[in-house]
Amino acid sequence: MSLIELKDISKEYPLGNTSVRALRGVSMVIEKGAFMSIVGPSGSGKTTLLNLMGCVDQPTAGTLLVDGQDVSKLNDKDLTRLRLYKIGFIFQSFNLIPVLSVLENVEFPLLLMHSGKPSEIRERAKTMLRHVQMESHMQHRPSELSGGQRQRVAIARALVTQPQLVLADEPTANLDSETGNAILSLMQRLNEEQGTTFIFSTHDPEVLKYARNIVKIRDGLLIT
Amino acid sequence: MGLIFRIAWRNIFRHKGKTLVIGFILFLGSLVLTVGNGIITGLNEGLQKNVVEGFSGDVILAADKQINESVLASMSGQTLESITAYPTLKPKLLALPYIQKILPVVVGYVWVLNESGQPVDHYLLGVNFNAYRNFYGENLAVLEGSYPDAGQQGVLLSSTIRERIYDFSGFWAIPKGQALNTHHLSPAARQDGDKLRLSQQLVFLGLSQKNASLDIPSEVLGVFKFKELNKLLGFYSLLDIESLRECVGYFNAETKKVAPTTAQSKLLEAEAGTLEESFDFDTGATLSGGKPLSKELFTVQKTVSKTPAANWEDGTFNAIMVKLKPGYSPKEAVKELTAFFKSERIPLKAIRWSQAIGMLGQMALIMKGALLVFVSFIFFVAVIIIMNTLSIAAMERITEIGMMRAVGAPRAFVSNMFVAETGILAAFFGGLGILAGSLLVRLLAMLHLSTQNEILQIFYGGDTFQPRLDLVDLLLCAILLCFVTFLAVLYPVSVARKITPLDAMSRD
Repeated sequence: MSLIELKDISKEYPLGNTSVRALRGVSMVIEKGAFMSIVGPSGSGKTTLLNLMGCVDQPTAGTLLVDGQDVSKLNDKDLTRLRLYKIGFIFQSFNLIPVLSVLENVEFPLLLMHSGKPSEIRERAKTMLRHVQMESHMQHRPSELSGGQRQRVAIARALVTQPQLVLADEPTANLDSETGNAILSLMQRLNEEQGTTFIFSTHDPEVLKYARNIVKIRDGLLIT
Repeated sequence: MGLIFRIAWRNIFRHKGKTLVIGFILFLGSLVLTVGNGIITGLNEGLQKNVVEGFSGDVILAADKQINESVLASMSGQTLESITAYPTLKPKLLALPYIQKILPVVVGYVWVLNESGQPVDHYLLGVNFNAYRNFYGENLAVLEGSYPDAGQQGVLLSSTIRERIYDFSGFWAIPKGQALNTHHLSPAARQDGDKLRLSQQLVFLGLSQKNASLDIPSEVLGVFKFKELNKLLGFYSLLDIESLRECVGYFNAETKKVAPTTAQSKLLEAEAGTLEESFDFDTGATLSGGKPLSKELFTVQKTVSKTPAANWEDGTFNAIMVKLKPGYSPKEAVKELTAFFKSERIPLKAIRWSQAIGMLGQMALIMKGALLVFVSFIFFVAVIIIMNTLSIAAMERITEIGMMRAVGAPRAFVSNMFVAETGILAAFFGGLGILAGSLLVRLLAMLHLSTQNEILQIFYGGDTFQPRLDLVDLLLCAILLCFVTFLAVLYPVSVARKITPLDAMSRD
């Protein structure tokens, strides 16, 4: 069953008087439960593709369906709800809210969803932190954590809402290989245990070992 | 909301530099606003207490034909339109639920004549001394002589006018039967020493724009000063009402008692110019076809002079001062009185005290306006600085805000976060500013700063600087602070709301 469908998607960015074509007619279908890697060199369009699938950007042309919904027909409010309830993000620079503790950062999307009593929300966040082995750092601020620890917290925050799709833009780019492998193992485990769809971009061949599906992209075109 | 406040609260401590800049501006703005409010309230209450309760009353009633509403300080010297039939008006006015008491007066503009020096122009308030004292209480300090008894004829001279008369006419007025009190001499008069010319009597010539009326001699019964705002209000002296009526050519109580004919009444109340126009000197034409005009007038005046004094309220007035019962505002009273006069067909108009006192009221309004402009300017600057600082803060937090949006925070969450941050700062620093302003106002009031400068006296609302704040003022400060905060946060919020997840990622 498809979670994401891209039909002849193009994306252009204005650059001065000209424009840059980041994607040139990309079409593909991503099934639920996929553990997929998008591979390509820098500037190939990986991040643009992830942004479109994560509903943080709109295609210039083509149709994008996320869980059956045509995102071009959704307004800002609907797109925000879609991101909150169905999509989890893991950013390259482990973006956490600096003024909130580890536990509060993980609680953040649940509080936005108003999903349950505060005590229930807290318990869910703690459970997720246990999954990523960050329980002992719950009261720490992001600035007190290492890169790997922050990335684990970001994963916990992305997964705590039990989204159908987790998008990770080069999740190991700023980590040492040991930590990177641990993070990918964790993502793989969650994919297998909970059936969450993971799509991550990378240009690191080591990371590809973990992916079940690999999509290669170059100059805005899929090449496999 | 708990999450928003938690983030906002912690962000305040995270961005200490900006917090201090915004906090200082909010503190300063609130301080200035509070002190300014305190001064305006002090000014208002000072003027209310010193002018309304000691000089003008809350509302002044004048004839409906009266065009110039500065009835107590007309710069033109034009005679006020007369009010007749006071005895029938009095019960109607006193029956109104908002009127506490009334005082009918004659406002006169006269020259103080002098055979050798320049005449001095001067405002006189024609009053029944007893009624005046009942109306205003102890608003005057009698420096020399004594407060006149009921029915006593003469002038209670303002000390300010006495100095002016000396400056222009070269003599020093003293109350009848009193020795010269050298303590009260002006510096210029003191220099005259033994050569100082003294006078116990003044001669007033009633003035109008059209022509002069009668000149009357008047004994000086006492010299006074207003207990407050004497520099500003001391341009008035009090004269017994019958003398002033005679001086400006109004019916007095005695002429009323004689009950002159319509023709005679016209003659008595007519301005001199009108008389000349209606009198044919060559033919001895008559007004009503009977006796010659000159003989008619002579007969009336002769009869009047021999008639015993009647009730002073029976004569002609040109203003009625009104004091309202506590809790009634002059503005509302004027509105209600206007409607009342219209429905009852009473030929009167109601004027607020601030309009009736002319320039003094206008100056007070200008000062209040200037203070408000100053405070508004401070707040305008505050809005600009806070707006800029918050806008910069929004731009510096693109990654954080964009990430929140990507995770699923709606735009309203971002707006509320900014509003909460600024709101907390406004509540804390603005609150501190209001508190400090209140303490400063209290401190300034305790200093009892006094002045003899006319402009400063208006600013003070009296001789002493008494700024004060009540609960309403503090509430007003808080509301204004909220308004300013709201204005200041509008633009930064719009900047923050436009931040997209893509903006954050492109910075990543």
